[in-house]
Amino acid sequence: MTMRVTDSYMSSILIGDLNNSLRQLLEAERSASSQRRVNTYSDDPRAVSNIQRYNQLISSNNEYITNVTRSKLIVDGSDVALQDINSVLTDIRVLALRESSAIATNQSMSTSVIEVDNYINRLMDVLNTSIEGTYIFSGYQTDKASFVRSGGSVVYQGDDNVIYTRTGPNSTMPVNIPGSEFMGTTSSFLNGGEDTAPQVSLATNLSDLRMGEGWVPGLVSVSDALGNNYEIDLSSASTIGDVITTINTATGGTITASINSDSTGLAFTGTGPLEVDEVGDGTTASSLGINNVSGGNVLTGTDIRPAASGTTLLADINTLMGHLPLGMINVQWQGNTYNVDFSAATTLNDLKTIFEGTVPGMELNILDSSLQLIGNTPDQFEISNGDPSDTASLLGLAGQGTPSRLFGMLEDLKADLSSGDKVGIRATLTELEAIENTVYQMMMRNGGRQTDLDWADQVLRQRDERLRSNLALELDADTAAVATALSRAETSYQSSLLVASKLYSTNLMQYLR
Amino acid sequence: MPGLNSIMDTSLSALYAAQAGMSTSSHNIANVNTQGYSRQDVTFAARRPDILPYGALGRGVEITGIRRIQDEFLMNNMRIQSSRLASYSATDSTLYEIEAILGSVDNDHLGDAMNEFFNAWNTLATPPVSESNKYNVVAKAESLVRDFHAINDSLDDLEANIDDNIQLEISNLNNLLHSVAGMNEQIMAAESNGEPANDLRDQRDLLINQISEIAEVSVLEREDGTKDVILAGRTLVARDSVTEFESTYINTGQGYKMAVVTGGRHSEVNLSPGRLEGLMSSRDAQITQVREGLDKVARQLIDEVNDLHRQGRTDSSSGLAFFSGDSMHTISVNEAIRSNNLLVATGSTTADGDNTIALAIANLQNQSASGTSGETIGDRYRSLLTTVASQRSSYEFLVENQDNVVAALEAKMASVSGVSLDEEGANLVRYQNSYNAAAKVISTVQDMYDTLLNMV
Repeated sequence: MTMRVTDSYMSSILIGDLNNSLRQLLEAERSASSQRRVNTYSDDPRAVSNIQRYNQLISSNNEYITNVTRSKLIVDGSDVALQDINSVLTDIRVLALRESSAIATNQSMSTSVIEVDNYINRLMDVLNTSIEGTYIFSGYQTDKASFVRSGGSVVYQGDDNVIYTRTGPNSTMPVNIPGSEFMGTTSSFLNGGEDTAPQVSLATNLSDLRMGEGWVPGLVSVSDALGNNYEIDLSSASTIGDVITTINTATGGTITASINSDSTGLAFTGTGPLEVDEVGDGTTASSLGINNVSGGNVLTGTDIRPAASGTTLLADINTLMGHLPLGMINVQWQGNTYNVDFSAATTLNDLKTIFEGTVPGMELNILDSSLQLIGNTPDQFEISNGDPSDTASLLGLAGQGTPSRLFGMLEDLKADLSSGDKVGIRATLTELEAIENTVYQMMMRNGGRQTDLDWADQVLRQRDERLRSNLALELDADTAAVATALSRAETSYQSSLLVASKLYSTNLMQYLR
Repeated sequence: MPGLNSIMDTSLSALYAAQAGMSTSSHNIANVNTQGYSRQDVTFAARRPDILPYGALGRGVEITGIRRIQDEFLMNNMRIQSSRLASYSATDSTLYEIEAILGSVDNDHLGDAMNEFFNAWNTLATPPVSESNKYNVVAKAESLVRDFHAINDSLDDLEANIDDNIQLEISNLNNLLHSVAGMNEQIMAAESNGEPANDLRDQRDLLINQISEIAEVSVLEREDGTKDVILAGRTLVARDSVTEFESTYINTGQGYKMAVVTGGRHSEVNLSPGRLEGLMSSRDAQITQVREGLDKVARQLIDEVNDLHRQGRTDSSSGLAFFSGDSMHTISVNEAIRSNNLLVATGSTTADGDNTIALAIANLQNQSASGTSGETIGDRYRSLLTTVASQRSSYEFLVENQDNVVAALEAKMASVSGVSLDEEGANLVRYQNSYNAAAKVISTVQDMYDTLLNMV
């Protein structure tokens, strides 16, 4: 049976079509005017969580950038101060050498007393550096001047706390140097001289590389002398093994990636010269230490080892290879001798636990690429090998732990100059050397922080761009698609209107006489 | 042998039939735009013939009835689908408002306020630590609290608005039930002579359709032409008597909420799908879900920030909670801290540079207090937004889809019961020709009379 087409049927269909056309037109116009694919959450529920997260991450990332910028004020301020201190210490060394020599006279020594006093004032000025009203060498006690004169000596008013700042969702960075490290009134130090950073393995997480600075996910370009050129996306890699597998799969074996011979980074083998380069503005290759050109068939990447941590296996430390298990070390401190047996240790944490359990009052700290011993009094201590295993030397700990009595040493120097004690002045030179070493290490540590902050700043800004780009992908409309949809919706609506006007104006009644 | 008068009678019946046809077409054309009108059709039958020795001689045409063209199956189906559409639309409308309350991609009030709150803690933690940033932390916390309260108030308003609408719908429903009962009475009287009251029936069906949008009902037609309207097992209209609905507040154990009861009996009605059910379920499900979700967000924020802040110290305080309250309605910045912003603890010691507590609180944005595997405050909020967005999107789709189903059924009904002007035009021509032909027969019979008379 033929379907009856009634006036209400026609009107119902036409109104439905007009509504559909108009709704499509409206949606297209909304997208075109806002240039957004998603305006309300229900436009794309799948994207809501991502949009929200990207917005939050961008907001947090901006905060981290601000943190880095502000932290640089302190780190840069510390750097300037340390350079000043270093310069003053050099002058003091010259003075001490001069006054301990045969040409020194009582007159010159008396003058030098005043000179040393001026050095003390100058050092106090430098160490009382404040930024925005806070003293940067006072630990947590930032409202107090770090050093003040009390009676005849200089007293430290701060504490030995380190202030951290957030430089990423899960990372913090130390920014200050507590002034207690100059005083030697609370402790004595011995910084290990051997590199204890673990070697790189297939399982090493990329986020741990470069002493914990991580890497920048992205693309790298790898090419050889045969004209092969591969652009490889490493974004989905999370370990060194993933990187190697991804590269070797992409090159099909023409250029082979592997861990380098000393296990400190990556290496490439192929028909040289080999070249690994960044793609576009990326820094992925640099962050993996492979942005380089080889002279021959092997391209060796730079050191990208992760920082040492408590879980670092002794077997993964290059300097200890072939020397495990470790043996004994001797500690002489406060008139006591301690024999510390490391033979059962397999990790750095084991070393710490065994040492601190055997020598009460001393700490073994695990730094990024070395060990450090601290005594909780200014008393000197001596570390030596306890058996033929040379364990103390292997760990870089053989030597003397000394307090860095900056102002105490200067007071002693003043006293020696006043009394004309040339032997005492010469003895001061030994302590001065220890202090210069301490300051030098501080400068290294602080310089590392400056580099870390610069690196963090760069990574955060790249992250900001990436986050904004990801947000745009979720949020922004495809202009060409929107323009096409708008044009199509307009045409559809106009056609619907035209059809409606024609149909409504025509029926049989017009033809009846 | 029939006489000329008999032929006249036969033609006269044809004239009457054609007139009835013209009149019905005219009625159809007049009601072409009347909502709920079903086209009518005249049914004809040949009159009983005269039985003569040589055969049955026809005596013309008679009108056997005027029927309305209606498909009850389609009508019932459309009512069911309309009820569902009304239910989905009511829920969609509530979700639309909830979504608007929660903000939009460009204006995410609460999400932005939470980001700014944690950023303020981060700024406070950033060395060189400055006490003046404590004022900023409190200001951002108060802004966050205001946003929680604003959302809570908006949800309260939305609930109250829905309760108002429920009352309005109940009132509409009762009025429509009375109208149907009134129509039953008129139809019963009009059809007492056995003829269907087509136009009254159309009007009653239209009323029942309107009731179906409020709540799905089933209809039972009695032999006397009246229709009973039944909702959720309760007969609301029986001939001319009506059982009304009322709204009342019942105790749910967690407070009072508006419910629908039948007049007099005060027993709660389990509503079938329709606008009323959509309003009530969106109030009880969607709004409650958002309220509970945001309460959890607020509670987690309060607990995690307080746990850390209590570990902090200032020169004149220790162990102080940062927030008071335990929900988005009751959350507030601790009165002591509001009075003296310097009581905001930055570290676990009184040292000015100690930023450990501020760092830990700022880090709650990225990591739950229960560890990396726990859900952060932001995760919980995002999860709620995604749920609301997904529900809104699916209801939007449901409404659009159901709208198409109803539109298709309406079109089908319009095809069956609607008036076609082309068809009526054709009928007019048909009846006019029929009328002209019958009149011509009468004219011919008249000539035959004249011939006979001239012979005399």
